[in-house]
Amino acid sequence: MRWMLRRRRGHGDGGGNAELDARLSEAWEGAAVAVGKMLDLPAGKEALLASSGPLRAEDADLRVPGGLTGRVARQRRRRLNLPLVAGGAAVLTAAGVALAVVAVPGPGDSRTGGQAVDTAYVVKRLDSALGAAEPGAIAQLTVTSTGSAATPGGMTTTEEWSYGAQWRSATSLPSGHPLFDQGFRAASAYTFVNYEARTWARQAGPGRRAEPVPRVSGSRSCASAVSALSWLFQPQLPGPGLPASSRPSTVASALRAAISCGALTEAGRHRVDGTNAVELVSRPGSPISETIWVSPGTYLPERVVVRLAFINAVLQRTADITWLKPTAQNLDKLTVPIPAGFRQVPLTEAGKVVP
Amino acid sequence: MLLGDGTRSSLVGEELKRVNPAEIGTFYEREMPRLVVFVTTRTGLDIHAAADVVQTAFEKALTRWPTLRNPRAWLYRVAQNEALARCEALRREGPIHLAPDRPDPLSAALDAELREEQREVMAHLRELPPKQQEVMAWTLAGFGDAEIAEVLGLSTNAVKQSRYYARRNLAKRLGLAGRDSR
Repeated sequence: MRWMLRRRRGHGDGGGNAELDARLSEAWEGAAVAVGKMLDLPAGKEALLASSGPLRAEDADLRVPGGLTGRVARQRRRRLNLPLVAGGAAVLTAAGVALAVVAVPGPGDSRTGGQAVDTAYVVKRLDSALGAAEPGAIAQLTVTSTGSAATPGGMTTTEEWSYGAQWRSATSLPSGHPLFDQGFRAASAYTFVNYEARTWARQAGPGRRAEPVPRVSGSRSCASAVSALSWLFQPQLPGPGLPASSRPSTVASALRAAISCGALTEAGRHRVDGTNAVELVSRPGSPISETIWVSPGTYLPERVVVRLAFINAVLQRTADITWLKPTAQNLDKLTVPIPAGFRQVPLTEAGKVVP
Repeated sequence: MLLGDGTRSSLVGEELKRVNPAEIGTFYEREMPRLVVFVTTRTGLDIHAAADVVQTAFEKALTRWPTLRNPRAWLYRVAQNEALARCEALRREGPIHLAPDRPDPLSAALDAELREEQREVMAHLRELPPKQQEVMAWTLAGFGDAEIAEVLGLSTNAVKQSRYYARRNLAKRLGLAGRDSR
């Protein structure tokens, strides 16, 4: 390198230290080589040259693939020039999701290629962010149910926390009156509290198993996505009698399964809790009717709305999501408290609704 | 620059025909990874974001390539400025609920690719005081004192001084202080 050569000729800037120079140079070049392996350089180069018409026309080997405009090709390559990272299974999967969104537009989709590309980029970042948050953050959800199929008595609100194999949900009426509180903790297994019946139950055992939700790109994953969202948005259960392993392992994994369906498209930006969030909506005809607002800073979802249609009813569930660090105070939120004076009963009786 | 001026823009288009795509391609393949390392070191952006910024900088550079006196320095400066602007935009767009305690998957994969000694050096580079880090990053990217001074708006003596302190700091942190080879 120039500055090192000059120094060796006696024009250094003081502090001559050959070992330091060697280590700096080695680390810098090593990082560049490693980054070079991660980037899809041929695709990036192609996109770069595609951004210039005159250049593209001069070199047949570097032409844009047929059917793509220069702008779309540029955006596509720019957004997707990072997929092939050695050992990064999550990133590879994310790229698969992204490509599925670009290559297989849903029926009736009339959006431009550019929008599809932006969608692919956001979905890819969303998937990566959820993958990173999955083991290390507590997802705190406030789930509100509305519509004609909501719980008898009207709208309910459920606070839900998810962290690794641990999970808790507390459902209450709009008045704030609690209905149910239940959760799995690795140490104490499953706990259920019925505030209406003033009873509680605990089932010893290993607690909920952390089972990853199966994820494959393309429409084949939609069945698991529907299943995952169904569990994610059905927190008020009742839990008793439900096999512990039947729920998805975490909120993050459920959301990853939902987006892997590949039926989302970007619908602009909207303010959500003070953030200019990116809105992703499911395409017409998708097996899931959902809207996800993604933070442009963290690419984590901030709000998810799912609409379920029954024969004569509609149910809409809205989840506002906060991602918490696993501090001692936040971990306490995963504990189901047993109110004083409540009676312990067998689990099979605890879920009975008081007439 | 020249964009927005119809006459000049068309001239740029004509001039671009004289640019050899193969040379540009080779330049891109050589500089792209280095520029990503440069941007991540300077700004702390993850590799996804850094690569996006760098690609944009390349596209900007290409449109005015023949008019640039020092295209490589121009490219690095634009990438750095774009990255800093993006960091500022992200900061303004808060609140961010989760401050990541660990790097994104690609950055983690990069760390996995590097040896422990290399990771240590890169970490210390990122922790240098801003001016020292800036001069050191430009130096490691292969720019000379005069180029760095021009880009950063400093005198060459100021560049040398910042690099002197940067290297002294790094030597101390890496346990290499006092191993003067001269």
